This record gives sequence, C-alpha cells and structure tokens, in this order.
Amino acid sequence: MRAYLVGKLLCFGGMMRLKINGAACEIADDASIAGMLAARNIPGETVIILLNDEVITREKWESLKLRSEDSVEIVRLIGGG
Amino acid sequence: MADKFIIGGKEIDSRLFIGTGKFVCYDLIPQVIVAAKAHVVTVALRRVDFGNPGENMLEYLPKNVIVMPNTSGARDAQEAIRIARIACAAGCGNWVKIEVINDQKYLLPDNFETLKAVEILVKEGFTVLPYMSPDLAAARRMADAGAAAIMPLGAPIGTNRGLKTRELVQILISEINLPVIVDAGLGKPSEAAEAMELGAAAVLVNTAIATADDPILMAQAFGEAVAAGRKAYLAGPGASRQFAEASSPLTGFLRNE
Repeated sequence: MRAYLVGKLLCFGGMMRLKINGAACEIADDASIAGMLAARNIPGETVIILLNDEVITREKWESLKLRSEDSVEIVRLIGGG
Repeated sequence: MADKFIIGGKEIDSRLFIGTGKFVCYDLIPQVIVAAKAHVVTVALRRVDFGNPGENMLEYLPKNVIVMPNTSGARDAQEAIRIARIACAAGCGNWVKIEVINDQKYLLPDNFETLKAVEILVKEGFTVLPYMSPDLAAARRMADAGAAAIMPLGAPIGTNRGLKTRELVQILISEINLPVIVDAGLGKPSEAAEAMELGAAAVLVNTAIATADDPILMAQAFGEAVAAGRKAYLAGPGASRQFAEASSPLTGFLRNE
C-alpha cells in the first residue's frame, strides 16, 4: 500500500497503470474520472471523456470504476476550419 | 421561386459557413457569426492540454447554428471515422466535415482516404460533407457514396490565395448534382463572390476572417459578398466579349458628317 496525493488530498491505496491521452500513467486504483479531472484542475464542463473509445457521460464520472490498462481520452471542442 | 439551400434534408439559411479556428479569443466568435449571418459553423476535436485546459467552445456558439465538427488531425479514413463517431456521441449532432490530411506542407486532403470515410459514415447515418481536392472522378464517387455536398478547396488552407482551383471547381459545379461548397484558401470577400458567381452553393471561410484586422467587419463583408455573388449567379451575367460593343446605337450622332 502506498501513500499518495490526489490534488491536496493525502490518500492511501494501491496504484494501477492506465493510459491518459495516450501517455502511460499510474493512478490510485480507486480513482474515478471525476477525481482524475479534479487532480488536474480540469473543469468538467469543458471536456468530453472517452473510456476505451466510448464516450462516458457526466453522470457516470463519479461511479464508474477505472481498471488497469484502461485507455482514457480527455478531449474538448476547439476552434477549427 | 425562393432560392432554397438544402443539405441533407435541412434548409440552410446562409451560404457562408464559418470556421472557428485562429481567432485570438473565443469572445469574437459569436459576434462574427452574427455579423456574417452564418448558420453552419465548424469546430475541431483535440486532446486537452493539461497545462491549459481551455474553455468550452460550445458556450460561444449561438443556439441556432448547426455545429459541424471536422475530422482535422485524421491522417487516414479510420482516424476520421473515429473522430466523427466521438463528436457525434459527445452531442455534436450528425453533421461532419471529413478532413483527411497526411501532407503537412500544403495540407492538401487525401481524396482516396476521404472517399473511404464517406462510404462508412454515410452508412452510419451521418450527414457527410467531404473536404477534397477538386477532382471530378473523386467527387463523383463521393456523391455516389451518399455525400450531402462536396467541398473542394479554393487554395491550400490558411493561404488566403483565392480561387486558384477555379477551372476545376467550375467543372464540379457543372457535373456534380450536389451542393458544391468552396472551402479553404479564399482570402477576400471578392473571392467568395467569385466562387458564388460561378454557381457554388456556398463557401467556407476561416482564416480570412479570423486573421483580419477587424474580424467582425470582415465577416460582415464576406456575408454581403456571398449574398451578392449568389444574386449575380441567379441573375445570369451577360456574356464577355473580345471586342467592344457600344452601349448606345451607332446612329443619330450629333455631329456634322
């Protein structure tokens, strides 16, 4: 078991490896999408979340369990021609 | 008879489509859309930069516009299809501008990969508008595959060089039984008017407006130019001649013979 920070919160637990925006990351094994966004100071209203290529709607961000080797994409709409 | 503009069964109120890239701030975008009287607006999809998460683009778009995500960043058909599906699942509607580019120097679209994406996305129920290099054979195949319009480039993206592909666009307008929307490269309202005078159904303009000294005034100018060009096309311009033809009869002159 490790101690780690999620934002300013000191947590204890295991870690798991997954991909976030194409980069390998290690996060707490009980992390939620909402927690992941909060840890990165990303407002939820501005983003679209994909988990293993499936869009995850906002109401599931607290409850959905992330798993090891998941691929999470945090994307947004921007200006484009 | 009213001059209706219909794409994918939907009536479009403006023949000027606006791209939302390159604006110095998002605050300008709703003002530009109003000044241009635009109805269709393009956006792009990107991964969030964690150091600069950015704002929600959708908050800046008026509720009555049709949001058309592009598949910019796609290098092949599969990447374009993935982006289109994500945008639709995220609530952007089922319009999509297919943009498949694997040339970083000129940003010219790959017609072959674009066609593959058209075929699949049409079957999935999308209203598909492919951005393409003006090639008649490719356009015919895209039309046969069910594209809702064809969007040939006027000049490479961001160059403001005008309707360099005029002759080829003219052929597409003549031969393809779909709206032809000139997209990319138009740098001045007169160039948009030129495309409309040829018979283009609409134009898509981004850089020329976003990078103008006064984007709002430029958007208004483009809107008026597109409307003027469309009227000129409908009015049926007179023929051009090699030699002069006097405006008044060559008789009854007030002179001593």
